[in-house]
Amino acid sequence: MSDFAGFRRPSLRPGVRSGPTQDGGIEFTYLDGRRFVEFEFDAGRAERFQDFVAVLAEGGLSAAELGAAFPGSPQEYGEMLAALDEQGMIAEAEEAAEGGMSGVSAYAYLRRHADRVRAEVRSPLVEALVDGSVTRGQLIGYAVEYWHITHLCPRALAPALARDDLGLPVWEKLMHFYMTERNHDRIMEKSLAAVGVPREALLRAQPLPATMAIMASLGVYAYNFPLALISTLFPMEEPEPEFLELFRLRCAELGLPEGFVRPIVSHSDVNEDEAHEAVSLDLLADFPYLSTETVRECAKAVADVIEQRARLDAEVVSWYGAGGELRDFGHHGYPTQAGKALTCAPLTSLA
Amino acid sequence: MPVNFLPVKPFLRATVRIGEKGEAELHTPGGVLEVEAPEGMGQRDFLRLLRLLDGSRTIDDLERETGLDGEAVREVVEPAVVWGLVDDGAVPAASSGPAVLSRLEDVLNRLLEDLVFAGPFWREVLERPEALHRNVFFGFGLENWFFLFRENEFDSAVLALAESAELRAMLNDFYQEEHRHDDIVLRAFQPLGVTRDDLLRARPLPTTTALIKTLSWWARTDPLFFVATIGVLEGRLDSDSDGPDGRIAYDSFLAACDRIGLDPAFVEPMRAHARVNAGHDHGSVSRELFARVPGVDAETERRWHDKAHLFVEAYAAFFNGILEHYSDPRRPLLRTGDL
Repeated sequence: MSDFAGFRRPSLRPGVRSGPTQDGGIEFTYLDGRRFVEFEFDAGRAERFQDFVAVLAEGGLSAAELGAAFPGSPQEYGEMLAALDEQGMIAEAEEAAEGGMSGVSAYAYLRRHADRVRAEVRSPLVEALVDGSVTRGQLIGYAVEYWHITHLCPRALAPALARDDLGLPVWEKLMHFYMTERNHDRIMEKSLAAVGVPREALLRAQPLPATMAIMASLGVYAYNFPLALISTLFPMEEPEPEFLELFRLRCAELGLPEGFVRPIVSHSDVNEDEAHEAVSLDLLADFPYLSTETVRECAKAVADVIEQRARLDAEVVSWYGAGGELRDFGHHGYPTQAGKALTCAPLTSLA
Repeated sequence: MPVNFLPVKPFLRATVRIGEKGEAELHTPGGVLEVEAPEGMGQRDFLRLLRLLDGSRTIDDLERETGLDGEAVREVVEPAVVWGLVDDGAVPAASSGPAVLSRLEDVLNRLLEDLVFAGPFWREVLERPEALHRNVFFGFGLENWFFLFRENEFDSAVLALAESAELRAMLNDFYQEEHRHDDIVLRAFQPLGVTRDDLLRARPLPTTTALIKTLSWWARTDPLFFVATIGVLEGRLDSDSDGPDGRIAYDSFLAACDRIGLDPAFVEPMRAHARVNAGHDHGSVSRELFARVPGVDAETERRWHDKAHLFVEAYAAFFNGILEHYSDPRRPLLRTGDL
């Protein structure tokens, strides 16, 4: 028994045949006669029922209109449609999707939405770079968190590769993206080795909470909402030439070696050369339709990752500026002051 | 990077104005962008093209109306798309959720007739239940218990469905309604001397595991396709069949049990489970859920039609595996290890 209220335009399923029976009724057959049902009518009503069946077969009336067009009681209507549906003979004729947009339109919306959100956040790290108050420890701390992101990236992306509802071109592009993101942590390790932070120490270190939140978000999207993962790639991968220039300048002023700066710049160049920020558009363009709610949820994900990134910049400044060092808690005691600085100012990045 | 992202009908989300020095300006809520015509394109053509990007013209229309070649048009449109300034004015290509489910039902209906009802298990149960060893009926109960016992594995995987709050809430309701259904059926095994502890030590037939794991995988990797299968899994076969006493038997299996006079202590808990599902109208779950799916694209629908074959193959093997294994009374009802 089906819920006919759920049908917008109930119709006889294409492929169902109907014809008169010997005693003036109507017989319906489906699937080469393996499913059939027969209705008998009072002699006076047979013709009107035949007309109704023609209307039902056409599928042109809404559920309410069809009910009104039925030449019998509402109970008889329900029984007749239920009997047909029991045999699988009723189909939905309303073809039009509700609202929604193409992936290209979704990208344009997300991009505009991202611009609006960016105008609402501030980066304490960029501010410290601009006014020259940034410390050596904060610059190295930034690189450590960058390492965590590159190190966790394959794990965060991998669950999306198991999905089977994205279509082959998208899957192939995600696989390619995954391959290009592998081993990027090795680039960052060269940088950190130049300031005396070896890989072994990094592997023991915990990321800052915002770094974790960003990578956890991407990873969970990859499992459960790959479209949000795809949507958040552009705010994660956009080149930031002005930031990089300032970063370079302050590193030089604070006497950080060229071996520290060069790999960071070159990693950024790799992302730019591979046009990583265009990955979102390239992937979204393969979706002919996305529901309005889906795009709205993707927009929340984009806004959140932008806010988390600003929060990460605030955490780099507060943790590494308050005496916090590499977050290897197994080997060193926990610097409570740095922990307090970190957790007491978590939203300083929201303007 | 090859360009795959040209809108069908580009729609510029900015107002085109001419600046003080005659330069083209795009005014958006976020600010003003000064834009230049690509090399070789006159300013008049450039402005005219920008103003025609109103979401009603295809790239071909734009070429025709401006007299520009396609490459020139793309040279203007592409970067604007990358900046997020261009939407698609064309209606996105998709069908309503219920229409897509209806067409999928057609594929499923045919496969159910071809593979499930025409298969050895259901043919025997429907046509000659007297000729079957009773273990086949008990085996059906046991393998159904394994399925219900592990149902949380697939139902739970869609509880966090991200794309629709309403679907997510309904799937959570469904999960709650299904929770502990294995315990309803459990009582059926008392007359067989099979306890819950015995069942926890036992493993299902490989054909049962195949169905459970395949569904669990789809629930994780193609959740809406999994949702589409629920209607079949929860649907009752021949729900109006009458039992010998004139009561509704609830499904063909129970009607066959009644026909051969199987111990009511086994049959009634099975019927109780069928009654609970009927009360929740679980056969309509896919339809109720798909009524809330706003749209599905054609490629996804095609993929679901392909997968429907695999699903019904696994479903048919689930039934036929029961007949094959439990027909031989020398085989134990439960397959257990030593631990």
